[in-house]
Amino acid sequence: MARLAWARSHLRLRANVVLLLSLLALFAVLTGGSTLSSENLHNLTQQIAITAPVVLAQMIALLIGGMDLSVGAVLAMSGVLAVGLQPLGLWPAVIVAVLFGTLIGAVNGLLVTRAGVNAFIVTLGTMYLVTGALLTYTHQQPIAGTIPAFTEFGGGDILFVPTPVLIVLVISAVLHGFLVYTRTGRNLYAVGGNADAAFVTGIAVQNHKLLGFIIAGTLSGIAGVLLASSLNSGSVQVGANASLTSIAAAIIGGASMFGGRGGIGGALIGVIVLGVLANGMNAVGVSTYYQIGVTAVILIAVVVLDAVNSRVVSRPSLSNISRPSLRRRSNGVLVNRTP
Amino acid sequence: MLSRKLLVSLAVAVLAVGACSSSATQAPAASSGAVQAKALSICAVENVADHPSITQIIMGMTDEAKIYNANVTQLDPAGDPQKQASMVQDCITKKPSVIAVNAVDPVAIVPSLKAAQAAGIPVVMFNADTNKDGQAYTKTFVGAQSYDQGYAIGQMMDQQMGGKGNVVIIQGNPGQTDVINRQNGLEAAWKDTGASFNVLGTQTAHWSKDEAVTVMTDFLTKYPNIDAVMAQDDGMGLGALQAIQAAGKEGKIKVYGVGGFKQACQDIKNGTYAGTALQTSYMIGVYTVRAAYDILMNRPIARQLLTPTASVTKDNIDQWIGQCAL
Repeated sequence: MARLAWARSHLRLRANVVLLLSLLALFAVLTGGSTLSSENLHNLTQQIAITAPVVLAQMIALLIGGMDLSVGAVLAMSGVLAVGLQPLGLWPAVIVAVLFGTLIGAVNGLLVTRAGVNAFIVTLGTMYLVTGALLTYTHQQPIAGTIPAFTEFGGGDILFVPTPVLIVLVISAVLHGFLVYTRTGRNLYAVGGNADAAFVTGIAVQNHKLLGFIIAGTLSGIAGVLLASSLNSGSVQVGANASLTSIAAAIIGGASMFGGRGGIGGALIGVIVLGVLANGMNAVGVSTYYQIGVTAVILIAVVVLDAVNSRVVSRPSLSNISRPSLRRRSNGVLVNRTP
Repeated sequence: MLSRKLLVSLAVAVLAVGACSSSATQAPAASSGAVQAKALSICAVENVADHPSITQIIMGMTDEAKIYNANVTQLDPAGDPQKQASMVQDCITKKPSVIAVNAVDPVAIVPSLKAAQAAGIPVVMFNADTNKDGQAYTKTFVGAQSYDQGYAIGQMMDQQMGGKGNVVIIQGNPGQTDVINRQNGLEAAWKDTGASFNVLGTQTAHWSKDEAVTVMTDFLTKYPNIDAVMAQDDGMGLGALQAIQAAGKEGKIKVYGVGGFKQACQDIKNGTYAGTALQTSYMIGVYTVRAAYDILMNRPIARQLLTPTASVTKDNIDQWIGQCAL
């Protein structure tokens, strides 16, 4: 099974890279190369980096067999806190904003694991709760940033590289290392893939799920800070579509609505695909209404291709199931590839 | 395992390559001095394009663009400030003669306007302006003063209702420029005229007529003694009127709106709708293209280009009904 799952996500990832490269090539040709100009690539990577943390959050939530509809509301509230609390100082404001995400993540996680409520319902509830708090706190007015240094997180450059790109790369590297190289990280996959099986093997399923939601909440908080920084303001209008677009990006990047699949690389590819698509279509001058349609077609195509792929993969490789944890090395020796 | 690592590093590389190559950013930006030789091209970023008044603005722009032989690209962030910021950045990359922005959020748009100025591309704000900080980076604002519209309604209510009564307010999307300004204008007019209205409730109907029906129905259930409803646009005003008619309270509650929708003007003539602040949205589109052309030709341009606004009630409806275009 492990091999099968690996083959599937491998195929999906490879298909997505092909998709991404073809999109880049297509838009470069259509715009006479202007989408590949240094100016546009700088702009594009900055835009993508601002959107990335919320997709990473959704990826983790999906990975553990949950989902997080509150990411958009948390993003908006954290952004507003990061700006609104600036009278307390830059770092206190930023830290409280991120911790607010952690707090909501913990609330989500506790309600899902301890009260046993479905993640969809719980996070829908916290989404409304946080949105209500947001509208009350701001009196529905945007708040302008007062500390100029705050704009550096989302809008600054370090050695010509947009700062948010570096921040996202660091976060991604840490998360990737955690998911792949630590026992707890690998257990998150096990919990998401088959909670009962994970329980039987002695994994503390509930605690791992709780941890997953806390990570997702924290990432949403970071997303809010980055976005507020790039806009130098806390806006009540941001994040309205973030929950659904982040699910779309995570699915394109190899996540499954049934949990246990996906990863940081996939999440990044998902968010890059959507970013390149929007940027390229804006550059070509495609009307926004067609853009929504094109995004939908790509999302559905990726999922359908994946369904077809998994059938193609599973049929001839039934024999694999009998030796699930074995993998042939280049020298022909079969080795155990326990996760 | 290996190839997954490879793919992750590929994704990282795509991010990094784009980022690193930004070192040349400053070089091409300086060439905007030669703009006069080119034809007029406008990259327009709307706020929420599927609203009747924005549709009118786009029609105005499209029609006027034909006269100036201008190429207009319309982008719609559908009310998302983050998307709008990205779209303005994408406009900058396209290097049009002028970028036109209809702000979703007056504050959140500021960094994008700053970036446009840094790239040497002039910005015209239209319909919804940015704040004072943002105005440092823009050439002009084309539009009706949404503050004045709110103020006009406030005055109208004071005159028609004798300065007192129970009022409910139906607003557009929380946080939007027009919503804030119309509310502030309304309150300022009440203060200036010495009116003492009792606001029973304020709710958003997200600029939607259907939602306004629901909101007003709830208000009617909750408050039996409403004297007037102030809707921030005529679409929502018409929705409120529908709810009032369904509840059999027609004629007992005065309905005010903003915009000058055709149906609202008809209802003002019939006496079922109390008044509107007429906004000639089509002309906002027309003026925006003209302003862009003047900027292209290096002509002097006023800081504000205001389209006509008028307080329209039963008393002067015959004079204005021809302008109710929506």
